[in-house]
Amino acid sequence: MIELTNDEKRILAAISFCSEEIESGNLCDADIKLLEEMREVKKYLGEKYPSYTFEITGCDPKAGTIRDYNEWYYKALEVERDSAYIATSKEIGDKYEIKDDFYGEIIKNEALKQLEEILSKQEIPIIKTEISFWEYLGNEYKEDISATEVLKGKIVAGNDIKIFLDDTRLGDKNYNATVKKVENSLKNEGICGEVYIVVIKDFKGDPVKDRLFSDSFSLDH
Amino acid sequence: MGGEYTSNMTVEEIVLINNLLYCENLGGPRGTFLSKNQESRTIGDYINGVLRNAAKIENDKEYSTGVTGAEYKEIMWAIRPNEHLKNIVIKEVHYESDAAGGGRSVYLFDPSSKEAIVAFKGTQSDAEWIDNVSGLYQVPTEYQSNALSWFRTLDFSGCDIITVTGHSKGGNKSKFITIMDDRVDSCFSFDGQGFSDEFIQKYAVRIRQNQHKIFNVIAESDFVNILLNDVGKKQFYLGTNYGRLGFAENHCANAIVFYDSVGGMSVWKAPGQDKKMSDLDEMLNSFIRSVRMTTREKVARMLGNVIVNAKSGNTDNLIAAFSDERYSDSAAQLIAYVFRYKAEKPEIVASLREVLSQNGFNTEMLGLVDFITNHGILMEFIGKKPGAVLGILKMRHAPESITGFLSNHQELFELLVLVARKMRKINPLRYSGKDLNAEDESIVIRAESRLVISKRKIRLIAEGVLILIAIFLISLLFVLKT
Repeated sequence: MIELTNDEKRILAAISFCSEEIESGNLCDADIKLLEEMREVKKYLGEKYPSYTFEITGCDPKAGTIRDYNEWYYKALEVERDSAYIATSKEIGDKYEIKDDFYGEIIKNEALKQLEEILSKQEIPIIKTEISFWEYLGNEYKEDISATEVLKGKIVAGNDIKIFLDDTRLGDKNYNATVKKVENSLKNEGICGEVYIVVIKDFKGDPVKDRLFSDSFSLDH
Repeated sequence: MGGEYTSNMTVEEIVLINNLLYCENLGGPRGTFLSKNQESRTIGDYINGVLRNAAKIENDKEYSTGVTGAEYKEIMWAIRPNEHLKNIVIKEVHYESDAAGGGRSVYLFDPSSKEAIVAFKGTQSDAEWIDNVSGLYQVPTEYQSNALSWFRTLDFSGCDIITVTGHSKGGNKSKFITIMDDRVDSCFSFDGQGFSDEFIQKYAVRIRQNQHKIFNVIAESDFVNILLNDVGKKQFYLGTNYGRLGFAENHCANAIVFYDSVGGMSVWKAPGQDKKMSDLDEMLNSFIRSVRMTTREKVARMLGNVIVNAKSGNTDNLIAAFSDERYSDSAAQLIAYVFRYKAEKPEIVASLREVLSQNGFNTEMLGLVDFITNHGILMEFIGKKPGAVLGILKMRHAPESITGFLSNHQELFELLVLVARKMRKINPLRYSGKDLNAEDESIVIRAESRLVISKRKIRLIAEGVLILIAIFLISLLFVLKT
């Protein structure tokens, strides 16, 4: 018999046909493995980011898919966000190789600050910038991960930078020239990643509905 | 589309969007369509990004169940000349945080017609079937409620049209949202399963109000849409040939996509549903109706488990699923039902045989149908002694395929005894297999409550009231006369 929390029961019951066994704690082998993995993921997140409290909220298991890892959905109680974060867990021998996307939350503000400082030197009329990361990173980087190292590609995180510009403050309506200007200023500072630029009709405009132009470029070492 | 569906999307575009939902790691992590990182990009930006990395996409590798890199490249090339589709903006990507089984969805915006398109991915894992069959015993299901909750958080200001879509379980979610939220203008459910009788009865008023907005896009041989009662208009489409997954590929989102010589994509209407699937649809409906709500969860889980094992194409796994002690009672109930059903509708055996063989199964197990049907009493009495049964079978010159199959699967004997017992109690014609229609089957007196009164009951009540009035009038006349 294994003692499970209500959350563990709820998550397992959603990914296993053995609902009665889960309720009673008399788990089948496959569910014992999933429970063990779920607990490992939670422990990993707690140890990696000690300033945060994590809750596993769900799982998209690999069984029946072409993936060789399970996706564990989780949230951090300290962060207000509708959407879940995702950790991946791959079984290697008797261990799990766990990676997560939460580091992005940790470095996001600092990375944006650095980007805006670079762009402001060129008087580029920014409405807002966004940054996200494509890679899932493992235990090799902890809560003190450096935003600068990520931005400059020393830590390969798959940087994805979005820059929204205000058309009313763009002196030159040749958008391609503006894109080039942004590209050069970021390149000169050694920034890495995919950059996506959207020109919006004015600073109150909606980035989806009021866009006038968009283009992207890649900054790789 | 025009007509009752106010969307500006064509069926082809809807099918392509539903294919994009499954794109994962095409040429690297940036090739994942349903990623929050894609927010604010257009579909065109995504396609261009993927095609820039086309060399990194391996043609023969499966990138989602049943769909290879080469097939995904075809999808990308088909989207590339479509300016309308390419200009659609990815407004919000959502990873479900409340539904324990996960799930991803996207809110797209078409600036040309100010149309919001909310699309739900169907999950691909085996766990999908836990959700898929929960609709048999839950009204509404957890995943339906969660999808509706997220939909209701979306900001549709500035949108002239709201369209929802989704494939498989995503299709079911999109139909549910259309039924429950009057703001939806159009719904394209792609191979999505239907709803239980209890659901149809409970939400009959809402269904009647909104079902004209629902258009079901269905591959002619798809096996998911046959679950439960469909709502809305149905159109079947021709399927492409099966590949590596055999019959299971009928449920892949690209199963109805045809390409011309220059890579242009189209879908072709089929005259109707594949006969074997409509046979299975009717049988499943009538079987589910024969199961009491109190035991339906067990039966649903057995069905889910059987389907998961059936998808693998492994006969031993399928037998194991049937004889698993957790489900053996429910499995026996289903098998007994099929055997009795076959007596009334023999064509079901041919349909089952075709489905099983296309899925790579040993169809000799179907020989058991006649054996059990003809030897029910024998099985009840000596079925638990495999040696005795096999001996009698051999004495009677039973086909070697049957005796061989049973010898190799002795774990089946206990199940077959149970089947034989249950067969006597089943009347396969008691319940109709036709889809329940909210329009004509029942009248909901109090919407969204449990009180549902059928037309027949109302007629009986009305007749009773009339008789009482007549008796009262006759008595009154009699009293007045005396």
